[in-house]
Amino acid sequence: MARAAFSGAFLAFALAYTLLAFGLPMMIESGQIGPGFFPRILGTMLVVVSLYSVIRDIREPADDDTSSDHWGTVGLVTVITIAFVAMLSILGALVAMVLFMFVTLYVLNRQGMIANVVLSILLPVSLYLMFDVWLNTTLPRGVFALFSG
Amino acid sequence: MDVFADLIYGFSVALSPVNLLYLAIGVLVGMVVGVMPGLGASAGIAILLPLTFSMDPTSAIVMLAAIYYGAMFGGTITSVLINTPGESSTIASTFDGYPLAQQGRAGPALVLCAVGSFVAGTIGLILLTVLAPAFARLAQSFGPSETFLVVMIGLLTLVVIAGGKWRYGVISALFGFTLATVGVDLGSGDQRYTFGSPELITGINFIPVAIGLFGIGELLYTLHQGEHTEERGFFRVSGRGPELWPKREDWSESGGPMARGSLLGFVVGVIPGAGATVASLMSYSLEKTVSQTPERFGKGALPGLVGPESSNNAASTGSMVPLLTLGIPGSASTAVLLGAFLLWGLQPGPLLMTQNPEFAWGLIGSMYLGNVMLVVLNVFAIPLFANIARIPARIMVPIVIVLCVVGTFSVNGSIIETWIMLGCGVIGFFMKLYGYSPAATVIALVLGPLAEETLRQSLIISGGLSIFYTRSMSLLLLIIIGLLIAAPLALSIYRRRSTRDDR
Repeated sequence: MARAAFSGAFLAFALAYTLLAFGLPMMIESGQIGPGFFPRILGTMLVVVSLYSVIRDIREPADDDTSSDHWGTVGLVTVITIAFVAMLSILGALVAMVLFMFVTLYVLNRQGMIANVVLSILLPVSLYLMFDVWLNTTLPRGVFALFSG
Repeated sequence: MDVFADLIYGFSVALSPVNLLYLAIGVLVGMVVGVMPGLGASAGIAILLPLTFSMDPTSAIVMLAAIYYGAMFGGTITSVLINTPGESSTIASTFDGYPLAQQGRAGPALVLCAVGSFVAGTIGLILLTVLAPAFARLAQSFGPSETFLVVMIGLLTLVVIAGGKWRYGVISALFGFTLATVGVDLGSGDQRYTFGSPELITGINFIPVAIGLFGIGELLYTLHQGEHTEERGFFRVSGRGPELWPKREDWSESGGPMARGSLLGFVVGVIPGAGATVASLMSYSLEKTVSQTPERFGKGALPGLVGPESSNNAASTGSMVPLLTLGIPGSASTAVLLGAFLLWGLQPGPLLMTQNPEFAWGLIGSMYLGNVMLVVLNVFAIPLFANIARIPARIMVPIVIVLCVVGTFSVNGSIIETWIMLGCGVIGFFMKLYGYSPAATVIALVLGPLAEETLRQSLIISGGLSIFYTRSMSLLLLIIIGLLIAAPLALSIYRRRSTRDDR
């Protein structure tokens, strides 16, 4: 059923996309092909194929096994990563990276706490030095920008 | 021969100290990317793209291409030592590579793979050197209708060969095309699907999408498979001593598979949409067919390892032919490379080799040198890379997630792109889980603007669809498309009939 839901998500996307595509002009004033031309073809095809796919997914039982004992871990790591990206602009890249590394390693690798702490500091600091200092690509500073100017 | 002169010129570009340095970095990083399960060449190249922004285009592409073919070498090590392919193109190497390691023959197996990869890479390069200019001349006669059809052939091949359910492949490709339509329309200048966001006016960048689909998506899949709870079974390889070197009969047994794998791999690599994974699997079954002792396959037969290994390296070289001469990538990794070309304003196509010889021939020259570096690294530094392969997934996963996030952010300093990357990561996980084709999505995203533009031009030129069947070259390509669609349909009808007869 989850499989059909995923096809269903593509169908929903396809419907919204196609609806908007029909709001775009098919031709421009000079009689040339307009911006709506390609999206209308794509959208219509995607609606047809994903609708067909949803029907097939519901009707025929899955022939491959997608069950897992680790759905909890997948969900948890996803949520931590979302929090990480959200924290980037608040805490700044360095602090966010350290926190993310520590929390994720705590979830996945509880045996080696000392190694976890060392890695959670070493990797972010070296990445920060590499990207921010050496390559000069500004990583988000977050609230600490107030202090460093 | 002017090809020869061009090649000499290419070497002179590649041998500059700066390019040599970046080439060395590229092959090293490629090896590391290759041995890290869960981090494939396409994600590796996409994450490292921002690091090249301060370089000149030739150095940057030399380094990125080295990551691409370096990963092919590196992926072998994990296949043989821990039975986990570091790259999808080294799946076939686990069939006989891991049994060989179990028999204590990991050393000779890896040395022969390195030599096979080197031989195949070099044969592939010689063919590339000779054929690319010829291909470029053929491609010069291509009009927009042919280009459009070649894009379609590439995607269709990918969908047909991927072997999964074709409807998922088609959805994946169409999804990539729809993402490509976001932003300003090239023909009219109108905005499409931007929802007033200034960041979307320039369209959806392929880098966050590729990093999300192949980086985060792959990592989540690793967790789903429970790899973070496993200790890696592992075979030691010593760096010296007689047990590292293949015996005389090993060499003589491997010569044929190397030669066959090289040629087969190159031909498959040149076909848009096929590529290294397909090439290595085809080579495995070819070796099994020609072998006088097919019963040894799967139990540690050297030809079953050396053939596919040679084949995937030749294919990665072969796939540079359509990439350089047509601007059509055959795989996800080459799609990311194409995106990198475009970032530097280099439009691969028939004119690239004549208009940017420094770049095109410099790249080809650097690949010869890169192959030499890789064979040396692989023979003498196997234990070093084997140690990287030992890092367990539970530690690897957080490291690579951080690399994905920081790598994406540093491209444009955009938090929106970082969110797009993360969203694509979740989508990529489900695509992988249910058998969709993330590679088709990325290729369609990169080629979307080209497909739309050439379709539009074709229709304007002919005022209808007639251009697709009145030009003989277009008609030929159209027939190929017809066959690509008809073959799997016919096959499935035939299968359904025969199962019905069985009942």
